[in-house]
Amino acid sequence: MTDLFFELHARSAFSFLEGASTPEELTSVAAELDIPGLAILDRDGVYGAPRFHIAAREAGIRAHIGAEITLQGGARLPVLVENKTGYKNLCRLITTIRMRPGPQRGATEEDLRRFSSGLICLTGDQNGPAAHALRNGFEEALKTVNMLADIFGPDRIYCELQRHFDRDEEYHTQAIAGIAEKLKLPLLASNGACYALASERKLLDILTCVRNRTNLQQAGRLLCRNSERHLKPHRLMEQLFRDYPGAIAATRELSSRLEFTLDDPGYRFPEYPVPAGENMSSYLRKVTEEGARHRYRPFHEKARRQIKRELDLIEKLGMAGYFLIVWDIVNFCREHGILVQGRGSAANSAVCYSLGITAVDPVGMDLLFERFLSEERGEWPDIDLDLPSGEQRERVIKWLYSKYGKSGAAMTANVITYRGRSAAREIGKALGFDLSTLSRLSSLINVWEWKDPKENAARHFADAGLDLKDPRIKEFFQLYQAAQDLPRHLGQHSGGMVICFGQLDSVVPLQPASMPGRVVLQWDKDDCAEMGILKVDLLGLGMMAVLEDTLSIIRSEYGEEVDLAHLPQDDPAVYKGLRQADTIGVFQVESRAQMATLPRIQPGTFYDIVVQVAIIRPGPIVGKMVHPYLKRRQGKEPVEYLHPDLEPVLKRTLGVPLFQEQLLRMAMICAGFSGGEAEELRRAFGFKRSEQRMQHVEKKLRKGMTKRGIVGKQQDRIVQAITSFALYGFPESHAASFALLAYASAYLRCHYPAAFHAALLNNQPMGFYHPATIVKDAQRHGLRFRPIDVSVSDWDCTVESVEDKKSVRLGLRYIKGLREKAARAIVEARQSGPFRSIEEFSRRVPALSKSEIASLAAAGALNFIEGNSPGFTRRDALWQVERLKRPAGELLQNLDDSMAVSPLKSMTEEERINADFHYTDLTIARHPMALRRAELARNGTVRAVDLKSFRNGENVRVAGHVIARQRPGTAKGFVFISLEDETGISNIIITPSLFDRHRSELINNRWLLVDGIVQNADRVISVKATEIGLL
Amino acid sequence: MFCCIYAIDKDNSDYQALVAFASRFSPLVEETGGDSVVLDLEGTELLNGPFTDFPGRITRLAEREGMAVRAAVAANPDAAFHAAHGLPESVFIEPGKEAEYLGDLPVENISHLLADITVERLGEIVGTLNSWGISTFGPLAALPTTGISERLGPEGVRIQQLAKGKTRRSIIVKSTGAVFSLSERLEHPVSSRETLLLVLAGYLEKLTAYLKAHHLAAAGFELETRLADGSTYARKIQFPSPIKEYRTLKKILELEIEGFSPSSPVTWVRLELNPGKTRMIQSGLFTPDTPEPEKTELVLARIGKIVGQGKIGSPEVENSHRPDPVRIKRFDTGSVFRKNRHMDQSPSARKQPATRKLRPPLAVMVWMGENRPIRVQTTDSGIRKGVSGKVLVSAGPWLTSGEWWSKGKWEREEWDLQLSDGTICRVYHDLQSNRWYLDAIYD
Amino acid sequence: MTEMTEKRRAFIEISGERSSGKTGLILSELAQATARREFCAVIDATDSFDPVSARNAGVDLNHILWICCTGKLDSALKAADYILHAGGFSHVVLDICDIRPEIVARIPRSYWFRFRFATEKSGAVFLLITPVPCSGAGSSAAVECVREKVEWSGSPEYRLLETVCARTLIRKAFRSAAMIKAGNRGITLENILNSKHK
Repeated sequence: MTDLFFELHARSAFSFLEGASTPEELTSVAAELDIPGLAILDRDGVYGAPRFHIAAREAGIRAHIGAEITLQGGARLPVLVENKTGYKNLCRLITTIRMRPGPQRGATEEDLRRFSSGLICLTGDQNGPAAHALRNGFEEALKTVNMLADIFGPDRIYCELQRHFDRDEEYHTQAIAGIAEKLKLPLLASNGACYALASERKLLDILTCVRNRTNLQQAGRLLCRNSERHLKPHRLMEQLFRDYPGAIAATRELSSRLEFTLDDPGYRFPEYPVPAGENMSSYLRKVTEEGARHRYRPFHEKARRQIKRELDLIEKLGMAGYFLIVWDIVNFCREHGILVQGRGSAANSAVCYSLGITAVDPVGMDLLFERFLSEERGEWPDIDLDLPSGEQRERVIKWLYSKYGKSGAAMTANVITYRGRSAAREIGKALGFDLSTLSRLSSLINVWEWKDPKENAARHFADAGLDLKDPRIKEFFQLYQAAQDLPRHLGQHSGGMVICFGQLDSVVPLQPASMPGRVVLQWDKDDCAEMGILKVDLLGLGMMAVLEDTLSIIRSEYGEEVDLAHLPQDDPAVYKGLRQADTIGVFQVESRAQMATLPRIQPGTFYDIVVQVAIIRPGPIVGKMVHPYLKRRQGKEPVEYLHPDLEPVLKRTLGVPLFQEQLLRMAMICAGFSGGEAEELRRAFGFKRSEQRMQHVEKKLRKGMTKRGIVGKQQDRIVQAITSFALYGFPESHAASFALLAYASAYLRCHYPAAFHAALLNNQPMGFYHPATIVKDAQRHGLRFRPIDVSVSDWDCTVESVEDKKSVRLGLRYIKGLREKAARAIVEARQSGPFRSIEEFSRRVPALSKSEIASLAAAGALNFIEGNSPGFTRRDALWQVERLKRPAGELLQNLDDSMAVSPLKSMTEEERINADFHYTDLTIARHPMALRRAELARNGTVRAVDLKSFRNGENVRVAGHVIARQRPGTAKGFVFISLEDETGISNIIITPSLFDRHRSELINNRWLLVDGIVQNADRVISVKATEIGLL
Repeated sequence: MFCCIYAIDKDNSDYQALVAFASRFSPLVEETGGDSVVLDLEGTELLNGPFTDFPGRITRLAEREGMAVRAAVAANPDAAFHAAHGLPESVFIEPGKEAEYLGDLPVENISHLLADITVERLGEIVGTLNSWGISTFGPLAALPTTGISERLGPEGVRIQQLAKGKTRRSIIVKSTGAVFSLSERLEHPVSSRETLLLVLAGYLEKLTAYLKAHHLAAAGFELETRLADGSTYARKIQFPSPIKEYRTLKKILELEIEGFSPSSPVTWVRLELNPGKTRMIQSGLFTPDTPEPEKTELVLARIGKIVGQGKIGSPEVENSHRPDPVRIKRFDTGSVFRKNRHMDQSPSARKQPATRKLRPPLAVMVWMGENRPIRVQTTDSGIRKGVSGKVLVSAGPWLTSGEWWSKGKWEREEWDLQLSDGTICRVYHDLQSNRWYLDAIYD
Repeated sequence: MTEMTEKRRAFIEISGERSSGKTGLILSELAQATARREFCAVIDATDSFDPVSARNAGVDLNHILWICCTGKLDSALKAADYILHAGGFSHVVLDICDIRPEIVARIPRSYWFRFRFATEKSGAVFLLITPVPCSGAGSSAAVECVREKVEWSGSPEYRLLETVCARTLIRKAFRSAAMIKAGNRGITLENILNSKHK
């Protein structure tokens, strides 16, 4: 290898708006220009290091790790990692800088001294410490470089030369060369690449505008002076530095010195404090043994063998500590009555089942252990824990930080990247478009993405009113394409909360999260998985919170104790409800699409629910698996298999592949994949990142199949099933744990309706339906609701038993505009005796503001105060309320209100219902449609419940309140609307053409009158709309 | 009795025309809101005829003049205002029957101006009334006043009075501000500039005297003339600091219309001086005597005539990488107190030679050897001296490019050269047009 | 040079070849004047004044009145006349050094005498920058610039132009008699003797 040029000071887009290329792009271009080695130094972080490491390994070039450290004065010191201690120090240095409170965040000289060992520093480019010092003269610069040499040691500092054909920079280069000669330090050439190709300079200019919140016109000197900061091959660099040939050779020499790679970042698995006389694996064995005996009654041989195999593997890999920690978390939740359930790949492990982490017996379901843990692939397990969302989950996280925070627990980062609309808006603003053009452009984006982009763009532009002659419009689309998937900033991990364990701060830098007291890694979930860092994903699940509340209400109101783990399995009432698709409020199966398939599938056993949960997913729909399964389920189609020896795998799902595990098994059987290869296939398709990996695995799949004689159309159908599937396929273990929750929620809804609905209403917003619909549905099932009443209601909805009939008392939380603090004050004031009059009520609860009392009065919550005269209406309350808050002054204070009886007329029923909706978003009085039923009946409008009596193909007119509007991507433009009236819900199907004709009424109108044709196929009733009108 | 005239289509009807139209019927005119006027008709029966059919007559008259209006006559201005705005057509309300007419007007129609409260407060009160089921004037009037005052306070009571139409107030007549402007239709039209100047000088003398009487100075002037052939000629000038002397103003006016040669005789002329306060600058004992604003203004105008308007002023460096980022802004002696904003990042410590620009750049022919310039020769250089000679020393190339997003896109490769004829200069190769230019001399 | 212009009411002619360093001289002079918050006028016959270079030399651009005559020599002369008679400017620079020498030579002498009297009356310093000496008796002093040396830094492959240094030679000193009579601190004989001679 001749003395080729290594680019050792590049910058990727992970410097957040300071670099324009992703690590993958930089490595692939470097490989093309046969640059043998590359170092990406991002600002104060190693966010892109894992992706860079993987991409470099594939491209076959040396990946050096390092960063640009911001110093106190604002200068940027580039440092490279020489060995393991260097990497540890780099992570600690960045962590110290990031965690230091206060605005002036930058490394002090003392920081550098503490963490300098194992690191090599460069004097930096125009923004480096040397250049900053040079502004006040050559001597100053000399002093700075001397100080750096003193900190890092003369053998670990290089004077960096960069040439971008700029006079000021040439002056800096000459000065640095002079200093290097005076201090006898080696010179190093680099091109400070901020983007891979010269054409990407435009994108960098845009990002600079976004960073400085300005646009191209006003950015002025912030923009790049020219397009020279791209990756340059050896030929160009050698010619550029022909006066300092040594500087080019130095890059090869320095690259050979940097032997650290991210293959082994020095991560050690977490320890778990084990009682005396035990090591972690022996303790794990004991606990698992105990758990298994409790789970498996009888503890049959198959389970014992499976558990032993798993435990040996876990011990061999040294991950006992990890399992013990997860076990500890689950125990903590159990002790504090917090519902917890493991899911994801963990559900395939018998050990997890025995430890009580997961609730699905993998041995019984014959699940695939390789999915969870396979030594061959070096893929570490990924355990997801479902917790009730809200403050319960926060409690677990707080406890987790307090117990494991010191020794190493942190959340993974959530890198927000440029996607669709956000990219279009920001690029448009940077290009200086006015608001109207901007909105037209972003609307074009949706059209653009929906249709095939190769279609001629000119027509799109013309009808969006944009002219292509304006150069900025042409630039806009190129920049938009280039900006996709570029990281923009670090966001707070929204959904789940992934905690990593082990000595973290020496493996990856940490920085404070937006939530106080929380710490975030600089790598996201997938990076951690790649780097083999053990993590647990804590996901908040609304339904868990509902189940938990329901159980506590049952315990207090019904005096019974219900254990979710041991619900009676095949309860006939529950399955009857499911079969009739009476599932509003039930977990996972309440959506319109589910309701349409439930009557067809006629679920009878638990496994049917598992299938039901998995079937309405993009995977099966795209893979065209849904209809064959339904037909076979109803016996309209014979059960046959893609290939004879797939029979054992697909027997349970009538020959139709629905689950990911089945898919992996199919690959193993048809193409002879091993467990590890199958998992690799799943990861390849599961990954959203790279195209080539998919083609690579697909080729391997086809090769395996042709070897086994599966060829031609049959092979294509199998491959098509697998590819479309792996992307969205739902893991069976996952579906099983969800099915458990679905069954539990259906069971509780059926047997304890009051408790379930109260809990459901306390955890809104959740699921598909608005509280108003849930209340109406419950009332149709005979559940009585009692209105909000200041003398009785709590903040939450509660259950009241009146002569052994249970009814739900609406909570104060449903008064719009009423703060929780004020509501709690009402409840407290109530303890010292009931309120005797509105005036006394407002005096005893000073925290309430005037508007809050007015809302209470208008919602009728004050009507039931004892002191009121009989027949006291809301208007009387309003009349009195106005007087309360007027500062009438002491003189008039005790003047009794001569106007006690209000001169106002009381509300009509319609006004009362409107007030309900206005102030509480729901009503327990009659459904608004009921009021106009007489008038509607005259013009032939049918009630939802009567639809059953109509034959398929008959014309019918239906009306109602729009409660759900869906336009699923997979339904090729069809729109599904649910209309609710006082008797039930009718499903309306709207063809794309009809939708375009009535677009405005359908989108912004909430009350619709629909004429259409009834479709009544095997108990599923819907109306195919032909005409739309307004109510 | 009061009459309110309300312009129905607000956007295109000219409000001043409405006021002028109304003032023909009564001297006391109040401009209420942007779209209506209220007149006090007391004692105008003889002139306008009986009040009962006055609204009808007003509406017909207005239609003839192309204004769509509605009128209402009532015992008090507020009732008339609400009637004109709310009711479908013009109406006469006998005193005492206001409640009948206004009964079913919606509560939202109450104007916050009349009730003398903010729009938000009015909205609040209307909200409360709606929650009480009260939506029109009638029921509101019927509510017990003491209940209203306890609940809605004094504003509530005022609103109730408005609803009853029983308020009692007089109208507020608007007065116009002083305008320093003279305009005249010339009996015998003026055809030459000199005579026009004489006329304008006369106006100028009167106007400056008028300004002096108000202790004001001229901050700028507007000249407008209409010619016989229908064309117009107008000039508008703003001075950085107001000027008092008649002579200076006359000179500036003269310079200003120097270029004006009327194609046909001028029939109508208007001259207006915008008033402005004179600015006294207390020059310190030791501060150097800055050029007086008055004289400078005159000199700048004179030189502007010679070299062209955009060519005189103080230079300003724009924040851009552009090769010649220079702009000329108005020379203002007052700016001595404002810090120069444009000293953005400090110029680099690099020693830089003084530069003289060549605007526009001089086309040159450049011979290259091993991709460095070796000979430079200017072709024609007009009034400016050209350069030619072998390159003794060369530095570069220096690349700059920018504004890739607009038509102002540039991309150039610059060289600093020392030539055998003694010149040290900067030549650049415009990579878009592939031509060489000389744009600076290091001197 | 500064001790020359310290004296008010002077019409100084500065001539010199191209790239002889005259502009550097003028810019440093303007920098000091604007630092003293004085106003200066630059009458630029061929639009050669470079505000960027001026700002780098420390000139406060707000105090400069820049008149671009885009190559029209007679407009430049008229403008100079107006400025001098208006007064209020401490330094008035007429820059015609990019115009071809033979055209400069044809400027009628009467202009220079007219400028001389206007300068003395207005108390400003009038600097005439010409390629070749042309003001003759009109100017109260005349200086010629000759390039002393050009500094290039860096290696032959990569040079960087640093500075162009000028040396000033006094071609015509002030006519001392008239000055001393006026009683202001004019250039005395000693000043002229100790300054460098051609």
